[in-house]
Amino acid sequence: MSEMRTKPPFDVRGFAVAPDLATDAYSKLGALQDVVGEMVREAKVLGRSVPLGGGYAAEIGKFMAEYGIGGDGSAVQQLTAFGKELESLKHKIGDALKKVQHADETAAEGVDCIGG
Amino acid sequence: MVERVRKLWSVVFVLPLAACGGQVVAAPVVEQHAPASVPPSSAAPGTLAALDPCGLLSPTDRSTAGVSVLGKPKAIADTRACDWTMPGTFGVTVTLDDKVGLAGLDVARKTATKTKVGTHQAMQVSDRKAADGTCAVLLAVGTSANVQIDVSNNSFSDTPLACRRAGTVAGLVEPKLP
Repeated sequence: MSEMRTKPPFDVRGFAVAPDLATDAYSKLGALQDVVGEMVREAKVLGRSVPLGGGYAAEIGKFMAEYGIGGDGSAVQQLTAFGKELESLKHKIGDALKKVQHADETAAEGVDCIGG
Repeated sequence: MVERVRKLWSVVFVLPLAACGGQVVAAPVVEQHAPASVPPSSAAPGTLAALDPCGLLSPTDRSTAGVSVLGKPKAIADTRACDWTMPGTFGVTVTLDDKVGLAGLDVARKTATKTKVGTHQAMQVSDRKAADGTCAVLLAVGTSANVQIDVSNNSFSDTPLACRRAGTVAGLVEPKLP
């Protein structure tokens, strides 16, 4: 009988990232949010526009309205959800950076300088 | 195989041309920005066609709106627009639509509130329930044109703040509209 694996084969308690890399990741996530924001604004404009005429124009209008307006599964909804996830990730990185900074400061306070 | 030969020929021909002054490479960039930023020469005064979307916010206006970057002209479908993105803070897009009136826009009614900006009829559109940090103010220009001001916060939160920002920009843009 095969053994049921309840834990992944690696330590998931955390992995180390250099603080400067974390800062870089934080700013890059912010830049990505800027891009997503621009896409959201554009999708909203597209979602409001309904091409005049029937046939192909009507089909395009339906497509734009469906994917642009903030209904379930719309482009705007998906993009804003993505933007919020990025914000959450930024917060986590920011919190981790604060902890590192706090740990550094605490460690520095405990160092006795000899001959200085 | 034929495709590969075509690619090779295109490289052989385009590279020397690009090296002789870069005109082949530079031309499409200029063409890309021209339609969005330069109003058509035949534009009738008193219509949106005569306006440059990026010119709707003067340096003073940008300062009032908290925008310190230059606008980026762009085309959204067949409308002319300008986008200002304040890195890490918020972004605003102003779109000039001279084909459809305010009533002709497809807007979810539950998110829209009728209002007035200056002398223009307007509509504020924000989904408070979604709380996604986005808001738009749509201005009527006559019966067959509109100007859309879309704001999104970088954090994708605080919709009331996004609406205040959109309202500020709308107030700055409105006096310049026909």
